Amino acid sequence: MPGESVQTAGELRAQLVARGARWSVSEHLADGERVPRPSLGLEPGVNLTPAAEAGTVDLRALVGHPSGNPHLTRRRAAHGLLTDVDAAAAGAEAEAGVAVPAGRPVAVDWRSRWGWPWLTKVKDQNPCGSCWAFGAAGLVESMARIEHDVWARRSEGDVHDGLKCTCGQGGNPETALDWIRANGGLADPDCWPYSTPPAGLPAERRDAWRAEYTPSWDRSGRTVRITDYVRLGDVEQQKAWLDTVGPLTACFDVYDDFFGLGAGVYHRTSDRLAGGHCVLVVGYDDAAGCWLFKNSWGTGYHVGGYGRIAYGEVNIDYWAKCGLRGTNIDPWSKRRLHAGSVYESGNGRAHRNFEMAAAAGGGRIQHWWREGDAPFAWSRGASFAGDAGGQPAFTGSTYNRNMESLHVTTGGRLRHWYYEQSVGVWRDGGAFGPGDAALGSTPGFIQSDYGKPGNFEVVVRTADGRLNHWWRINGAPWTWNDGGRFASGIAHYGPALVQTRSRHLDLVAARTDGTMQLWWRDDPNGFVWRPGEVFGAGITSAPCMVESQYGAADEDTAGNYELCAARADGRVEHWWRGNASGTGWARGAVFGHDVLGVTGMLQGSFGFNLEVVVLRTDRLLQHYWRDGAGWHEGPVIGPA
Amino acid sequence: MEVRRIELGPGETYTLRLPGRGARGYVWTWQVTGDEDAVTVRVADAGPGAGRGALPGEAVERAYTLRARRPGARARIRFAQIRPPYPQEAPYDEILLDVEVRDEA
Repeated sequence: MPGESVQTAGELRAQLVARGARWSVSEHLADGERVPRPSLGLEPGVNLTPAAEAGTVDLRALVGHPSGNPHLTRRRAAHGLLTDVDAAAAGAEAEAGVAVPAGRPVAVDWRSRWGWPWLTKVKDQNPCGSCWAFGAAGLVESMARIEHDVWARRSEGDVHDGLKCTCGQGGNPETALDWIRANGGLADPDCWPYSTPPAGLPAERRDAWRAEYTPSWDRSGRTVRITDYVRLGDVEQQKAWLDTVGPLTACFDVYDDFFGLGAGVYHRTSDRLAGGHCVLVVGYDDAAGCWLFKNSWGTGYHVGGYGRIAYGEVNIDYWAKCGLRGTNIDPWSKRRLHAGSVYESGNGRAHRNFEMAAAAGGGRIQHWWREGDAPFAWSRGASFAGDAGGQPAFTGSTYNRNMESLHVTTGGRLRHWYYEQSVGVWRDGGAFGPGDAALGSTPGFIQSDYGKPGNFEVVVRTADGRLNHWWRINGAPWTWNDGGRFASGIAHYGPALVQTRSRHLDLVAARTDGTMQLWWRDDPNGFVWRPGEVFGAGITSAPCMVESQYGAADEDTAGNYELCAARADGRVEHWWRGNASGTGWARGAVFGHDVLGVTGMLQGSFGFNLEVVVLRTDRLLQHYWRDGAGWHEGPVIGPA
Repeated sequence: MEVRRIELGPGETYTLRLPGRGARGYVWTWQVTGDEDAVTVRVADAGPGAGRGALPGEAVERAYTLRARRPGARARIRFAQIRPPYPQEAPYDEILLDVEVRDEA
């Protein structure tokens, strides 16, 4: 005998009123429309860990250390998770003006915390049964953002297809995270996309459809790597994790009424089991008694794709929720966040070491690195090359995260060196270039998204005061190509080359009159370089420019340009331009002393701070950084 | 699109089993045209254990019961698997049932 059930949205609305429900039916459902009733089940033994089995964990052992994200450090201190020394450091920050509520707050919402967005956009798994892959990928994306202050959009298809799952195949986040951990991380969509059955494929064949997994061969250099994930069974610990670490995957039973969930807190009013589903829990609200979740059915469901489920409802607390920490970001995701001689790699315990190359005398180049944990000491690595005529440009590439160095030689050419990660050796990539590159200058050097692996793009100032573009297709025969000369009257140019989201190249150079000018390459119209806006005055060194996370409201939005350049009095001017807001170039601050030039700049995993390395007039390298309180003078690193 | 022709006597039932893709946001909806008093459609229990043990995201069986009503009536029932917030999307799956209710004699 079929069970009785509401038939229409109007009947469901009446039922919600009758049962005193705290949620409402989606507004897109008219009263006369039928309420959706799909079906699926979720039972113990489907490779999900019951919460009771996961039990409690030692949070202090897992996350009892300062985070690169200073907000999280303060939250961990508030929970008593830090050592006395670390807690004192966090407390000192609190005394400086940041209030630290003791214990757990009544609500957490990772959509916006401390004035920053932390979650990638709501996605749509349609039409495949891949909610589990979306939950896992959402977890990796959000933790990359929270731990390293970078948007790192991931591909659900990488794990879904890597597991050889068909479109209709179910799964669970634990299996997905196991695969990600064991297979070198989770790649970006351009390496291997999430794909769905081709249009026109009959419905009865769609569930059996499977994409043949063939990621680009530089996958090892474009994955966010993970270590062990954590299964949390205790609800109170799940909330503490949400407060002090980040989001959690969660699975639950879906009942017939769930598909009508709009605003409010969902609790079950139907007895008809409709399926099993996985989402990303991105917060909680004790006052409302609910979890906040990010679904993967597009923005049309619930409220912009986000919904709320009451604690304990529909088995959401029956299964362990999975958390992640210790994400290790790929150089591709960070490619716009650094310029010049320094970048942040995934090396080190906290996967946030700074890597730097600097001229070391006698034409040699010295590799330096800074550990990502206190006391943040700089150390020397190996040295290489023998013909460097200026400071090198340094970056990480998608070649298995190799380090790549490029410098102007004493003979006015360019020479490429790379550190082959797989064998731990520096190799000479050969010389190329104009023959009249400006001695002592630093080239702009990036990996673009033309091709896979992406081309290397280089711009260097030449002795005639012009700029010369060179590029290499990163495939056989590996030859460098002369992209031609452009501009004139260029006095200084260096590490200030960025590829925009519309794929064209932007750079800023200092002119002989002391002003700066943006140049951009018009890719759709013959790859012609065109002059842009002129700004500033009195600049006597090469500008150094990155695209930062400021202004990047989501993973698709361009962040601000941040530019630093030294002037004649030895001080550094910081300039910025709002790429998304349309704000023109504005000078932010002037800082430093005895600076000859800015050799490198990055935005890393330290609370959106800007980090700058300068070459001083005494030929010493020094670190400066900017946090919410302004620019600070850091340590002297060493000679260059 | 599959089309089924069904002949039922008054009061007789027919159970239609369809793949439910609820974990992807899909629901089956139906629309009766022709003689609207030819049949009633109810969501049925798919059977003991239906959906139990399935992994999150998997399709599970859904059952719908048609009960014939007025003798001599004819109706066409269109089942469509859709996502309600996205009415502009084509249905994932569709099935047509042409139902004829026999005269009582």
